[in-house]
Amino acid sequence: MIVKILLFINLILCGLSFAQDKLEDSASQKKLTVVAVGEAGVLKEGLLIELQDIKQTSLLAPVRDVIASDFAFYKKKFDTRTGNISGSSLANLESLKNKNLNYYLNLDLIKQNDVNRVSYKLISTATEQVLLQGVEDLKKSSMRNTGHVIANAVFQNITGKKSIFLTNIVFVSDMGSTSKKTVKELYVMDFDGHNAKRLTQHHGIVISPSLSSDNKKIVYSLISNTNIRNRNVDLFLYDMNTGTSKLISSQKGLNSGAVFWHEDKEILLTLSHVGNAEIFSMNLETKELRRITNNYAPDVDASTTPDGKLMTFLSGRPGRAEIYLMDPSGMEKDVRRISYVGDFNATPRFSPDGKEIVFSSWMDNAFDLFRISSEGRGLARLTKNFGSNEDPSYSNDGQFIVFTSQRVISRSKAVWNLYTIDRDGEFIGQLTQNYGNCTSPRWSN
Amino acid sequence: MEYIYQHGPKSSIDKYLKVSFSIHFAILVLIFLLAQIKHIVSDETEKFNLQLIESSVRVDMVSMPKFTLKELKTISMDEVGNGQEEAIQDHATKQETTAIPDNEPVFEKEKKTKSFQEIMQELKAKDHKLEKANIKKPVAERETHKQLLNDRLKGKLRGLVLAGNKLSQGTSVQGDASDIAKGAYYDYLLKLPDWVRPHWSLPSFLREQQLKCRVRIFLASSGEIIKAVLFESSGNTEYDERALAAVKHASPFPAPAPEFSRKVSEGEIILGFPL
Repeated sequence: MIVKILLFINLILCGLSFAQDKLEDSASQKKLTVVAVGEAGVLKEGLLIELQDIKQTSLLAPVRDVIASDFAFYKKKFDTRTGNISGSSLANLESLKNKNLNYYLNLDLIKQNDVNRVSYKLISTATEQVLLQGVEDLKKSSMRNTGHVIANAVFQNITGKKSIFLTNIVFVSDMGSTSKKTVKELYVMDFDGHNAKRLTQHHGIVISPSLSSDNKKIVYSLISNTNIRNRNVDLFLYDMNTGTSKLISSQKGLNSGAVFWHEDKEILLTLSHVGNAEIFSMNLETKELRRITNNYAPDVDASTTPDGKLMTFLSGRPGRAEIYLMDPSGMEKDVRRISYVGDFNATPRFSPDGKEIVFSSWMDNAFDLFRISSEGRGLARLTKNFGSNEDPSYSNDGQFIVFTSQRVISRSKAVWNLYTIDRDGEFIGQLTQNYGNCTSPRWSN
Repeated sequence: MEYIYQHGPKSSIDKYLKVSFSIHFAILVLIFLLAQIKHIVSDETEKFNLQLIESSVRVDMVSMPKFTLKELKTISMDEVGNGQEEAIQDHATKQETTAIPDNEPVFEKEKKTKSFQEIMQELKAKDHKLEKANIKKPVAERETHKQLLNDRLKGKLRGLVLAGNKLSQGTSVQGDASDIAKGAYYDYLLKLPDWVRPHWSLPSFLREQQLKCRVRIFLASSGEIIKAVLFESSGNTEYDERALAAVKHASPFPAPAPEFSRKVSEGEIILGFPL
C-alpha cells in the first residue's frame, strides 16, 4: 500500500514538473512585445479673448489685458490671443477650431441698475458648449481684480486646478530709506507685481517674513532702529484683518526665520538664546517652546511640507552650510542630509506638494537657484548669468518660483528686484521696478 | 534475508524491489528538487547582493551643475536629433557613448559612473550566463529588449536627469550588449516610437496626470495599420483616444521585413504610452 502511495506521489511530482514546463513554453511562444513610445508632447490650449463689441474697448480692454497677461504666466500650457481673430462672432467657432483655438472667452459690457458690469462667457470651440458664464463688477479701482477673478474662473474650468491669479506676494522693501538710516518694511502686492502696499511702519529693518496657510497672518522678524545700543532680532506677528503687529518672541539673540506649522497653531523658528542658532517650535497660544534641533553647529531656515511632517533646514554640521531634512515632531528625529555639494547653500524651501526643495547656492561669485527632490535626487540648476539670485519661494500651485535678484548698476550701486521663473527655470517676468530694494518674497497660499 | 525466507522468496523479492525502487526514486526526486530550490535561492541572494551594491554606491558630483535645466534640454534635443540614425543602426555602441560633449568638465564624473556601470555590466553578464541555464530564454530576451528601449528613452531624457548629488539606484543592467543585436525585428521595433511620437501630444492637464495606456497594433506587410486596439486602458477616455489617434496618424508605419511580417500582422506589438 505504502509503495503504491509513494509511486503515485512520484508520478504526480514528475507530471507536475513536466506540466509546468509546458505551461511556460506555451506562454512564451505567444509573447507580446511592448514598445515604449515615450512622453507625450505638450499640446497648448488655444484661448481667444474677445470683446463682444469693439465700441466697448475703452472700458473692457483693461480687463481683457489683465486676463491675457495672467494667462501669459502659463505660457507653456496656454496660447492666449486677443483681438478680433473671429471677427467678433460667436457663430464662427468652427474657424477658431481650425486655428487651434480650443476656447473662446467673450467679454460683454452690461448695465445693471445703471452700473457698468462685465459679463463673460467661456465656450469650447470643439463642442460649441458654454462651459462657464458669469457677471463681475467693473469699477476703476478694482479693474485688475475683476480680471484676475475671471481669469481664475476660466483657468479652473479648463484645467481643473487652482491658479496663481488670486494670490499675493509678501516682500520687504527699503523704500523710504535715507543714506543715514536704512528702513525696511513689509509690503504686499498682487502676484503680478501690481497693487503694492505697505503693511508695517516700524522704522526698523524687517526680515524673513512668512505667511500662514490661510494667508491671514504674517510672522516676521525686526531689527529695531530705535534702540541702537541693544539691537536684537525680535519676532512679530502681523494680522491682515486688523493691520496690527504684536511682539511674540524677544529672546536674547536671534528670533527669526519663523514659519507657520501645525495648522498655523505653532511656528518653527530659529532662536539663539541657547548660545547657538537652533530651531525650536513655539505654540502661538501658550508661547511654549520645544527644541527641535540639537547640535553644536548652527541650524537655521526651517521650511515644512504642507502636512508638517517633514522639515528642511540649513545646517553647518558638515563644516559648511548644507541642506538637511528631519521630522520636526521630535528632537533630532530622522535627521538626514540631502545636499552634498555647493560652497554655501541657503534658504531651502519646500514646494507646495512637498516633493521638491528650491534653494540658492553660492557659485561663480553669485547666488543661483537650484532645485532638488526631497529624496536628494535630480539636482537641477534654474538660474545662470542673471545677477545674484536669492530667497526663492514657490507659488501656491508649485509651478512658479519668485525670488530676489541683485543687478549691479555701477561700482557703488546695485539694486534688488523681484522676478518670477517657472519651476524649470524659464523666465517669466520682473515684478518690481523703482520700488526700492525688494527682498524676501513669499508667495501666498 | 530472514524477511524473505519467512514470506516466500518470489513475492517478497518483488515487494522488496518495489519498495527499494520507489524509495530510491523518491530520494532522487527529492535531491533534484532540493538542488533546484537551492539554486533559485542562491540566485535570488546573488541578485539581491548585486542590487544592494548598486544602490549603496552614491554618485557624488564634485561641484554643482554648471548647466541650467533649460540649457540641458536644448543640448539633449540636439543630440537626439543628430544621433537618431546611429542609434537605430548600432545600439551596442550607443550604450557606450555619452550624449554629452566630451570637453565639458562637469560631466567628467558622469563618465566615471559609466565605467563603474560597465564593471557592473560585466559582473551581471557573468550572472546572466548562470541565469540563462534556468530562466527561459524568451523571458530573458524580453527583459533585455525592454531594457534596451528604456535605455533609448533614458538617452533622450539624459539631459534632463542631472547627474550627481543623488542616491542612485543605478541602472539595472540586464544582459550584455551582444544580446542587443538580435537582428532586424528589434531594429524594426526600435523605429516605431520615432514614428508615433510626432503625433503623440497631450494637453498639459492630461499630461500631468501621468496616465498610462497600451495599444496593440496589427500591421499589414505594407506597414499600413490593419487595426489598433486598446490593450490596457489608462482609465481616462480622452487619454486612450489620443493614444489611438496618434497610432492612426502615424500610419503607414515602415514596412516590416517578410521574415517577421506575420508576427507583426498578428498583433505581437504593443505600443506603450508612455511606457
